[in-house]
Amino acid sequence: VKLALAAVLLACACGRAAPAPRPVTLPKARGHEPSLAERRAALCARRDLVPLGAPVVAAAARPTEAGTVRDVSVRDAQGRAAEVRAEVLAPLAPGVMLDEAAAREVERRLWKTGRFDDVALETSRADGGGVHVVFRVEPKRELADVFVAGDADQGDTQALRLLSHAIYDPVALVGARRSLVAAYRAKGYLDAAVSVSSTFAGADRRTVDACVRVDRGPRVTLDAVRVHGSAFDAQLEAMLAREDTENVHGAVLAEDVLERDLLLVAAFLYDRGLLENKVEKKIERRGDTVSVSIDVVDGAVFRYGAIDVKGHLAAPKAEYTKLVTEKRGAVFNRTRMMKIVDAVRALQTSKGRPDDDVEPETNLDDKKHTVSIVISIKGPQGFSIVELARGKGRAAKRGDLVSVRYTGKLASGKVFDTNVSKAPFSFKLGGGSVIAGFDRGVSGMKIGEKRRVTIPPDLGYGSRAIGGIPPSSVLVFDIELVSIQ
Amino acid sequence: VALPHLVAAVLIFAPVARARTFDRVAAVAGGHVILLSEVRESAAPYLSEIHEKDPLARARAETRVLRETCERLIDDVLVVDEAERLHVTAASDEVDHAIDAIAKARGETTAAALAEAASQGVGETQYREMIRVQILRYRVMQLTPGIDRSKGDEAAMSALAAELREKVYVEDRMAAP
Repeated sequence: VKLALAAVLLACACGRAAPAPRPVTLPKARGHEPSLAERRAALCARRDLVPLGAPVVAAAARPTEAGTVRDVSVRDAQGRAAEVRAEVLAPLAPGVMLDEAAAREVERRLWKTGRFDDVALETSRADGGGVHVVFRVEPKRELADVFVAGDADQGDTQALRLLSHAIYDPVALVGARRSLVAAYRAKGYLDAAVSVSSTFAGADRRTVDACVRVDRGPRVTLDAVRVHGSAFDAQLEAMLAREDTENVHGAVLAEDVLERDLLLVAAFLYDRGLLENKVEKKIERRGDTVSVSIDVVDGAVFRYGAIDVKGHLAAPKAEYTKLVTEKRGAVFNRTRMMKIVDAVRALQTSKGRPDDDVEPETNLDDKKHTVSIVISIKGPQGFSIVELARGKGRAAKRGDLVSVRYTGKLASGKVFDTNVSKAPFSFKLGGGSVIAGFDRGVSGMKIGEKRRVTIPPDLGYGSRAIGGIPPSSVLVFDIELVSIQ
Repeated sequence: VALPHLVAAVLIFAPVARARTFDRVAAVAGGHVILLSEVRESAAPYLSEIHEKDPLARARAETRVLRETCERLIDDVLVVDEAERLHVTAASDEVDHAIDAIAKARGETTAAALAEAASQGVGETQYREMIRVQILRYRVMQLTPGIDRSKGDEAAMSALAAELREKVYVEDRMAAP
């Protein structure tokens, strides 16, 4: 008996589909077909979905089929040909050796067409040599009746794309169900549950009935948002009352707005030197209401230590120092400090360096409760200017009409453009008529000055190929300023 | 009926050009399919460790391995998808370091560890992919709220797998009925 059973198992070695489960038996009174109400009740009591394909019984032995592909076709279980575009079958062309990787690729492509619930690969020996290849497909089923239960309505079935005669697609259905639950929760139905069940509608198993059940539960609204633990509790609550018009008594809690509220609280504290503050939310539910507690730990007050501007300066240091209006020993204020950083950025831009990276670097002294700040200016990575000859007069600035002679080379030294033996090239500085790196390279030059400017791709032509310049090229320009108007 | 007689009967009555199923969809995981041929390929090292003499016991053991492999492949696909959604990656050099660390922990060289994996039917590419997925799994686990790691990695990974399966449609056609 054991051997006979083993033989049966071995016969399954090629991975055939096991007998499909029988269709769901709906309650059926003797002598009459189940009514629509009975079908609905039976289906809506279920929680499972009709699977796309039948279970697979497989043994470890790997079927082997070697030989040249004679022909390839796509057919349903009844042997009817299914039309697919030629590129779907392209990896497995007649005349080539049967290849497992190519066959897998075709199986995946057939699946991705979205037209089939199942794909299997069958092979058979062809008379006169070669292999017939058949991709056996199961076309997608259609929905027949769609029922609703609980609090569900037609809007829900539409949101789930469960409409009569639509394709039955549980993959899309599960994603849509999650979205529907999220939509209910955003409306305050925090306990909302959505379930979908399905069963075969007919004996031919080509159509499926579905039932959508929604249990909304109570609508939960906000009682209050309170701030605790800070020396500024009252001010913070007043600020939130002004800034957050959504999270008010009786409304549904908007969690994304609440997250923004936490940032507002932290920003308020940063402007009072409280750099080590801790802000946490607690949401407590009581029946149909929630209350939010924003718990704050202020921490120590920090004062300014040294404040400096360093790096790729475009103007004399004094100009930057003038912008630093905060003083050592004063209470740190984030908003005012960011205004200083913005002013430094504006100065860089006015000097023709809009792409410079201007960021504050802070250094906290936990014992003295001071914060030292360096406003660091970094030029674009890879950009450099080397002065080859000095010029005279005033420096060219944004808006000037400048004339230059130049030679442009690739990093390899290959010249891709020059006007040295031609008339000077004129352009408005900072007007965007040349690549950003060229604008930047000429900015600040004096008449007669010569520079070698190295321009990285992001300030040059980027990933584009222009003329003899390959994509993502570093460019090197030798530039002489001829005139400024 | 003895097995040789059954086989003989099958051979006598078999049609000359009998169609055989070469491959089929073994599982659906979200927008992906896992093919039976992939399950077999991935299960090969574990199948080679089955030394049952009794054909029935052997078939049972093989079925169990194939089912477990299919489950694992489903979980791997879901982890990779989730990692992509979270913009989590595992760089090539991180995979290198992990392989080195595994070899070191076993007291052998990386080359020896790779050779051992190869002898069990796991090529270097497949081995690296397994390690990559494992790194992603740990990272996704750290970023997934509600995963309790206090009960050990095994329990946490099971919890993560269950959580990821809740998010998408999963149809394991090889699962035990």
